[in-house]
Amino acid sequence: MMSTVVPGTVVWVALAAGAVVWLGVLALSAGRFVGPRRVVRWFLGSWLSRGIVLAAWGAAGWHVFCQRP
Amino acid sequence: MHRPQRAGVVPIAYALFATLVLALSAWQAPLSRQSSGAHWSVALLVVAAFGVALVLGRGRQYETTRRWVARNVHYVRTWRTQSRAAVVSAFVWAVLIGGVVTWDLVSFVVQSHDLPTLSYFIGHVTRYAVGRGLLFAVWLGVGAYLVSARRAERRQ
Repeated sequence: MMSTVVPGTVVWVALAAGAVVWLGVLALSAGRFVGPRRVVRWFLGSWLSRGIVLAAWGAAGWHVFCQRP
Repeated sequence: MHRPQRAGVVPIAYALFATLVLALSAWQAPLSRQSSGAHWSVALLVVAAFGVALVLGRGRQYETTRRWVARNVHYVRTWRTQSRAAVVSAFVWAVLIGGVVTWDLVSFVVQSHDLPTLSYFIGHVTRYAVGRGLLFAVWLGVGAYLVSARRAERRQ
């Protein structure tokens, strides 16, 4: 049985491919560009940004483990 | 005087935390998403994470929010003077993170079979007890990092 690929999945695959390509560039660029660790640490730089990220983490946990999937 | 004590305590703290994560994940793994155990545990962990973040961050947050915002506004305003690598990095990360958040929100609001949300794909993993347990452990680890990472020395 063949499963059809819906349009939304194509967008997700494009985003995932973009992320993989970017991570590949980061791995090959030897620290020239800003990596994921620095991005996360940037978010943790202030109370406001840390609070927003923690709220997103909590909401994601609630959604994934208590709601939809 | 304090260093040797701290050096001995930190590995024990990590080991205790890892044990707690494994135990919680093993307990969480077979629960269904509708169970009260799943609801209470996730809610309590989120509240605890905010509580611990407040305790750990008292006087140890790296920057004030005002200074953090001002620094980033200044960076955006003077982007032409920044290095090319920094500008490209900021642009690509903004597109990737903004793209994921925006597309997930659009898919969630529209609620169409043609537009699956990110949690739809994650559901293929969490429907199995092993997948749910492993993802729960990852979620706890990420939360612990968000709570404790990038702390400055305590201000006097």
